[in-house]
Amino acid sequence: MVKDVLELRGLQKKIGLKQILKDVSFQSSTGDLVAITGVNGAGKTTLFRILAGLMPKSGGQALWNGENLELNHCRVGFIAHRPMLYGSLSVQENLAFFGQLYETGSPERVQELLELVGLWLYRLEPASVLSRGMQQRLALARALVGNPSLILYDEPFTSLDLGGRDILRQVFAEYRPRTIQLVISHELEHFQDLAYKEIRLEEGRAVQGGNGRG
Amino acid sequence: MKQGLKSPVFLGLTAIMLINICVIVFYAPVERTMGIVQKVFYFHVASAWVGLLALTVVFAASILYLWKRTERANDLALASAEIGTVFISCTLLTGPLWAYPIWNTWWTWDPRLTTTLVLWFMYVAYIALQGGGAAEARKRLAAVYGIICFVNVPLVFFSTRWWRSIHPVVVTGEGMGLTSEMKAAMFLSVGVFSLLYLHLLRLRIKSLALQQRVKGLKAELFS
Amino acid sequence: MGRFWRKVFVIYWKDLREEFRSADHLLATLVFGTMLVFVISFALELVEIGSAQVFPAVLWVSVFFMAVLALQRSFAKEQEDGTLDALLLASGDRSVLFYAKFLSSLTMLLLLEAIVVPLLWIFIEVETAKVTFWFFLAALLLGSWGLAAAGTLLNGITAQLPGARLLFPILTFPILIPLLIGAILCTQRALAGEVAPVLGWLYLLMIFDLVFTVLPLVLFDYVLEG
Repeated sequence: MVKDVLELRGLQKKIGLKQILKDVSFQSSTGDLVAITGVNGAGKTTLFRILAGLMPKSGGQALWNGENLELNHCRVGFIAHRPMLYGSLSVQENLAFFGQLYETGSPERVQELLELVGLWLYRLEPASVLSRGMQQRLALARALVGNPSLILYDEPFTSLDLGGRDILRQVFAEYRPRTIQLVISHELEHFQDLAYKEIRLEEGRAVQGGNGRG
Repeated sequence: MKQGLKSPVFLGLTAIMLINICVIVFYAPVERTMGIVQKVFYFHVASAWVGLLALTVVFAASILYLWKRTERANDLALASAEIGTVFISCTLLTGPLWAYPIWNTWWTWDPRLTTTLVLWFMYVAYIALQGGGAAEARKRLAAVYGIICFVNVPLVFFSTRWWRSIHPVVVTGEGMGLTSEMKAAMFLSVGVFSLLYLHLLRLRIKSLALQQRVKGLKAELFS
Repeated sequence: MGRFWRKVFVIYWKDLREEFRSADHLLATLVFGTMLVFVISFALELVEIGSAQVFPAVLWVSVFFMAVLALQRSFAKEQEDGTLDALLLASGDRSVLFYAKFLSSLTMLLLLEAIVVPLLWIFIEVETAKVTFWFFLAALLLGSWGLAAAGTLLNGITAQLPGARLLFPILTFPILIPLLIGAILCTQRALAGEVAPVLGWLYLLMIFDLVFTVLPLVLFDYVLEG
């Protein structure tokens, strides 16, 4: 299987007068699970939006297999602060809609994912009546429905209960051979016995942290 | 170079503006049927010209901003829009001064009048979009709107012109209904107003750049 | 090309389903439209000019205001739910979003008009004998098309500025002036049954529609860039 490579060289981002990212460089390839840490306002979410192609960079290079990152550079699964769901559509409709857009949303695939995140029983409920934790689970399913090759998790553990966290760790392990996974998280103990690399954003720069077990 | 009232540019501009006024008042003949009222025409046409020129600059600067993303391009677009608004307002104010004695009405829905008014509304909308915080999103979105406005001007003009026209046609294929002295005064006026526009543009861009710098220094100071 | 329009259709279908599932906004807009039609016709009746002459003007002013309410939602709602990012990632192309939103806005607008226009027809007595119906409907369709296209483009702009609701009509109305002229004149002549002299206006409407349907191909990438 071909490995995808994500490479950042001296990435910069300026928003207004604020230089959020000054010089972020790191490389990672399929199979990596990377924990991104840093204080509030260090630019972690900004970095994610650039990696997803949602926001243009101000300088430096961001490459996916040697090519510039654009909106459609690869299939990106994105779990953001907000669940990004349609409140008036049912759980199943939400997932099926995004699946159709990605052209990967066969009914079997939707069922499989809903069973994975434990929402199959609630599939006919409108997404707005779900609790925050359940919405987060649905957001996880949404991020996976497009068969992504890069998954960005922005604080995915928040609002998940113990069961949800177990599911998330299961996803980390299961998707590892096919994807690059970047996780913004402050609590590294959530990774438990998963092998991971740590990258800390400090004053707009990426600092290699310690490696997790594995 | 000296700034403010003593700068050579300002003094020179004042001098040619005075010459321009003298030419309009003494050199250009009094129009036979309209009389002295017609003199306002030289200011009217010149400011309308600058209004259109300024919109073209907004358009060009907007494209430049979307392409290069430099602060200067945005400053140029904003400054040009602001000054354009002032000149278009002058056009809209001097128009009725002339129209009332001649057409016996303050306002008529003639293509040029209507287009000018729509232009004014677009300028105001553009400035409203730019205003309220200098977020990066606003600059980008204003640039897009600046382009839309420019594209819209010919649509507005031709649609209103098809509809009706009683405005005196100044520039036609057959030449103008003006004596050569009047023509000379008009072109001089257009030239002088364009210079005034350029001067104001330079000053405003400088002041916008200074505003940015003050903000930057403050941010540095408090961070 | 096929993939592009398939995605457009998927989003379009989702929009319609969402809009009908929670129909409160649609209904509120409809109520507003009928009230508008009622208030204007009644006001004109009070000063005794409630004749067919004012019909085109009243029609299009009402449609304009109704459109502001109907179109304001297309992107604003995605922005509020935070779904815009997910939608962009899944569709992988910003113009897909424009065309989907344009089509759903146009559908909504036509639905609203289907109720409001007959109502106005009743309020202001129009002699039906002379009316050229196909031309009337063509003017209505092309006018709504332009409204939806320009409105969607500009809503893409204002939706990204939180707390800038009021900017939408301010930005939109000056842009819509050519459309207003063309639509009103076409409607007027359609009612009088004289179609030939205003065919040019129909072409102007088409040009306006074309400009604001094609321009977003270039500009929309910049609009949704943030």
